[in-house]
Amino acid sequence: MSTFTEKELEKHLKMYIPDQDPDPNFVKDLENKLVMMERRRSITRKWSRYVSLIGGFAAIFLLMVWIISSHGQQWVANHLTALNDHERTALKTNGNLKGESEFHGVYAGDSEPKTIQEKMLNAIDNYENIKGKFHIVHKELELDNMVEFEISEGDKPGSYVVVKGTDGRILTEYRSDGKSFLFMDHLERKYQWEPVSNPGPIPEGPRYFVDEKGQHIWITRPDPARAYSAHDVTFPQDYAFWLTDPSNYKITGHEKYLGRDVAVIEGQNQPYMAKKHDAPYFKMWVDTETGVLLKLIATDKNNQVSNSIEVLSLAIDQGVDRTKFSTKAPEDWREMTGPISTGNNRVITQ
Amino acid sequence: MYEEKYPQHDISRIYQTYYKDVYNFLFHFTGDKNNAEDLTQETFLRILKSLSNYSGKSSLKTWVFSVAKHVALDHYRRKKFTSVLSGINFLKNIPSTEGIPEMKVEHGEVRHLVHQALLALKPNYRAVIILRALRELSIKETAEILGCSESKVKVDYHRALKKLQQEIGLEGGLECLPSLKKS
Repeated sequence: MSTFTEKELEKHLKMYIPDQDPDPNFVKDLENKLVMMERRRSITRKWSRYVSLIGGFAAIFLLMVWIISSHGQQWVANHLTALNDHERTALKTNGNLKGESEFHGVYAGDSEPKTIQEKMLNAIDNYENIKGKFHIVHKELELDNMVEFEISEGDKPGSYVVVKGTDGRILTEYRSDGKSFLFMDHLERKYQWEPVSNPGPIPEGPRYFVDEKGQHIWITRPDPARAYSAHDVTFPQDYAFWLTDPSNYKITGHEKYLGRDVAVIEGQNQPYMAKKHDAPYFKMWVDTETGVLLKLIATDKNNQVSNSIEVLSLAIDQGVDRTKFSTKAPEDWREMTGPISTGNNRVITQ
Repeated sequence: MYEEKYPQHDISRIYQTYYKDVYNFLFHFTGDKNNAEDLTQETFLRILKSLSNYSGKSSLKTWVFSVAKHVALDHYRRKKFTSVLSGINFLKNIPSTEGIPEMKVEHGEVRHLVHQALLALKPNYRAVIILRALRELSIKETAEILGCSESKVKVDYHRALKKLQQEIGLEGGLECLPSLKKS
């Protein structure tokens, strides 16, 4: 049997297995399909590029907004000291003020805001006696009074507080000698007298917390001298609670006020406090040694002053006239019964 | 982007240049016209999708053929036990020889036997014969397409021809292959 070589097979293979032309319709259809797909892919690629580009710009824009919102306004608030109060308040309206943790070392030591709050909460421990006068306006309580006070704390508590109207007339008067308490209504010429008992222990533990029911609890401590209407200045516990959240306020400066070293604090109130006092924003001047409040400007959401305090004169540990603490009732006045109004209109959950 | 780097290599040009080669490679590999059309379409779709990945290291021709080879082998794996190896429909899809009347008359049966013998080879041998003998690619190009060394191409081609020779001899005997018969 004859055979053939590989070379011969290779040579003849193409002849026995010839190429053939594919169906022209198939060729045309496939070409059209490929061209269409290529166009679609090209458009998709272009859009992808545009989307990536837009996404990139958006990311940069958002980053800038974030940087400006978190640092820029703080920088402005910190450095443009020439801003007036109105402008500062407007600035605060547009951005959250940050607390000490984000302004590490810019002003006083890190612990200063906490220290000031502690001093405000326990101001009566920081002086022996205090004397002065202040003007207080509280829009919501329709209060516009001048308050004069002489107070002794420590071992011999006693107080003399006179509240006058804008016309200079005395409205109410409070006196305490540590053993008894006298309230006098000058308009009605009525008085009320009662013995006082031990004010109780100084509260221990945190003065603010949220209980298991989610209620905000503020703990106030009693004042043995019972100088109630003067507490806004001499024992400003209520305003100390405005400084509970360090991220809501900051110390923006230090000044001299009536010869005293004061820290200027600016911030936003927590929603509960803001609503209660109609004061979302505040600025306060606090005596750094004692925690006594020397000035307060609280503004409402319309940037109107809703609550203000301004101490006009102040003498700390310079002595007081204890004869004014006498609780002897005037003989020709009518005696009242029932609970004595302390002039403390604020409700603190205890 | 690929189109910016190789503007001459848009899909339309590639298709126009290589569709016949690809179609015939796949036709010879599968022995079926419909399969060849389907696989040709799949090949160019793959090329379109992966055109941006073409690095230009190998020639465009070998790259296109390597895509076609992958498509053919994938098809072979899918149809391993059915149409690819059976060759049942082969006769129906035998290439037209119109215009070559003498082949039609004298060698119609021979073509059938040779095709059957080619389809009976294992895929690697079939591919190397199609690329080297039918598509007349060089050893280097064939090696690039098959992803192996040139020496392996030589060895495989030699063995594939030998196997094909055996298949033809076994199937029909040399007497029925007048033009291949040693004179």
